[in-house]
Amino acid sequence: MVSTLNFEITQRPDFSMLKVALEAGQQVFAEPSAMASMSPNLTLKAGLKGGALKSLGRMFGGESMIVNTFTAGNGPGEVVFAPGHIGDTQHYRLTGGSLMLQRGAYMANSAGIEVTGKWQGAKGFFSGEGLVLLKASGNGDLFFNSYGAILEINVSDDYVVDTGYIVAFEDTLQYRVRNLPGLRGGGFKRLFFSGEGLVCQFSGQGRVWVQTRYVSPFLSWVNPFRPTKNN
Amino acid sequence: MPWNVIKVDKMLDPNQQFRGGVFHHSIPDGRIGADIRISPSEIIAEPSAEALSVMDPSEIARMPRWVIPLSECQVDLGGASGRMVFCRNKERDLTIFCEERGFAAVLGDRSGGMLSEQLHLVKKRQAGENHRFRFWLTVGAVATLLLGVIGYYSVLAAARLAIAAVPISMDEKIGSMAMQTIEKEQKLAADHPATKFVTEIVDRLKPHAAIPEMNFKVIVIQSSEVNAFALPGGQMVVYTGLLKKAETGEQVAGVLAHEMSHATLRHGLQRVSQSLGIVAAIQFLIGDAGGLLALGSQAAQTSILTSYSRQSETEADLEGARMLHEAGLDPESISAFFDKLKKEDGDIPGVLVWVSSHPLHEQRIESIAKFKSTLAKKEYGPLDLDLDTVRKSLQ
Repeated sequence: MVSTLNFEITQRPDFSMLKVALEAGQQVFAEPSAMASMSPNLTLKAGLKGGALKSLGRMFGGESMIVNTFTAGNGPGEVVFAPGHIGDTQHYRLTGGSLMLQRGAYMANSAGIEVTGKWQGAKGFFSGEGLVLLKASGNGDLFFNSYGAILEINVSDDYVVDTGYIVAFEDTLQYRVRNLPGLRGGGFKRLFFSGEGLVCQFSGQGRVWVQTRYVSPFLSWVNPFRPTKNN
Repeated sequence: MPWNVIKVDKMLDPNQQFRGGVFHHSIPDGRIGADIRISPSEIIAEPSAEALSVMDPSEIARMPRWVIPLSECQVDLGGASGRMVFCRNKERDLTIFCEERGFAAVLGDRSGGMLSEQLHLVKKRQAGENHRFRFWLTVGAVATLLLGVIGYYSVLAAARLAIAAVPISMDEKIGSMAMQTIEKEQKLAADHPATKFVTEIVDRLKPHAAIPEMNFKVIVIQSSEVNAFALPGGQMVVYTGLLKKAETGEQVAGVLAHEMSHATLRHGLQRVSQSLGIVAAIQFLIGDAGGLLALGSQAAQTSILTSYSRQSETEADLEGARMLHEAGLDPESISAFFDKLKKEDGDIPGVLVWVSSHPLHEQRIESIAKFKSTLAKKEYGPLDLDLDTVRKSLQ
């Protein structure tokens, strides 16, 4: 059964929560430990969705192999999901295409969608996005989360995004890893000291979702304040 | 029928449908999944049933079918996979795209080769770009690897140099820190025959150590493990399992000389500085200093301080052999003990803790024998200590 989910995203953007109202018999799938609250008539089943290979793909894409299935049994019910970290939740309706997701960005989906990993090779390694990206395809509703708020950018030609800020992009966009264009000349000095090393250049037509914060600089900022253990 | 014949037949099927999508400003979100057909003159896309099923009913009514005449179609390649074919109309406001295999072939076939030509040019251009990209990627990867290897060996070399400048008191501090983490409930008293026995051996070897002022201390711990180790600064631990296993006092002396050499050659400190140095180098590259502190506190753990490289083991063998020689004991006592262990209990895992972390024992025996032959000929006396009494006291 393909049908759209009745959902609401609240507390945006920093402490977003996703509330899904299920009709009797309807299902929603979510990453483990995302559930914050739910109606008592929902049943929860944990399992390797999409078989062992697809599950392995998810694991390499920075997600759990396990996907939880919430089913509304004898009547309507609702379930509330929360992302693991501070940040926004974004809805995307898949209609036959695919959406590429950054490692760990997956949160939940309706029936009709498959989530697995997609090997990126050297491109993934140098982009800092990881060797495997998540790929969601099919027809239905998909929910993903960001660190910080999410900006949606409509790319119609070329667009450059610093690698750590990419949350998701449509499969119609091609991406290449490159040195910041237009700043050549600076050479090595710029590459190593500007803090703007390699970037992703998207080309084609489609949408990119960019998060307003990047975890790694945040950790560098926090680190000096971290208490150290003293024996 | 061979598979390629089937493929050609399929390609020529006039009603073949492909799954893909459409970009058009009239579509909510600008994009929809579609079923695509290629007639002899047009590319026709209709919203797929699945795509419609997830749409609002009011939106479905507004979904037309989209048509691009082949004569004015402009093709391009792209998408996340790099294999998606995009067909645009003359005004470039309508795009029909498809990633399925065979789509490009049928498109080329229907357009009488015109679009194949276009696609071929696009492919060629992209291949050129990819080629350049790969070239620089390879250059980058090789350079990174080279830097890593050079860095690794410089760190090892630098660690050795740096240690010479660190005072012995540092070894003692690290050693005491590590000693605190060792279970000492099973420690034998200082006046126990076994403790007296090993202390006596250490006292005899001490004057011949490379660093005579090092503060050697040895304790015996009740355990069936056949093991002994030295911590930086000269504190040593011997397990009773080893004393029970040894046949002669000389064999115990051999083990102790080897362990004392680890301390005087400052292998523990080398290990710490190497692992700190390597992690520091990696983290300098990555730009995160968090783990560095964690590793610093971890270094106090004995496992890091007492597992040495093959090179360190060989060095300790030879230095230990020298000490034995100077003390008037046979340098080959070192080989004798692990040779015995290997022969008797080689098949029993766990018995050989002391040997298993060490280099191939044939090589060791050989290098010790070779070293012995370079030493001045000397009459080696027996170690007049009573191991039997010690062993009886351990029953």
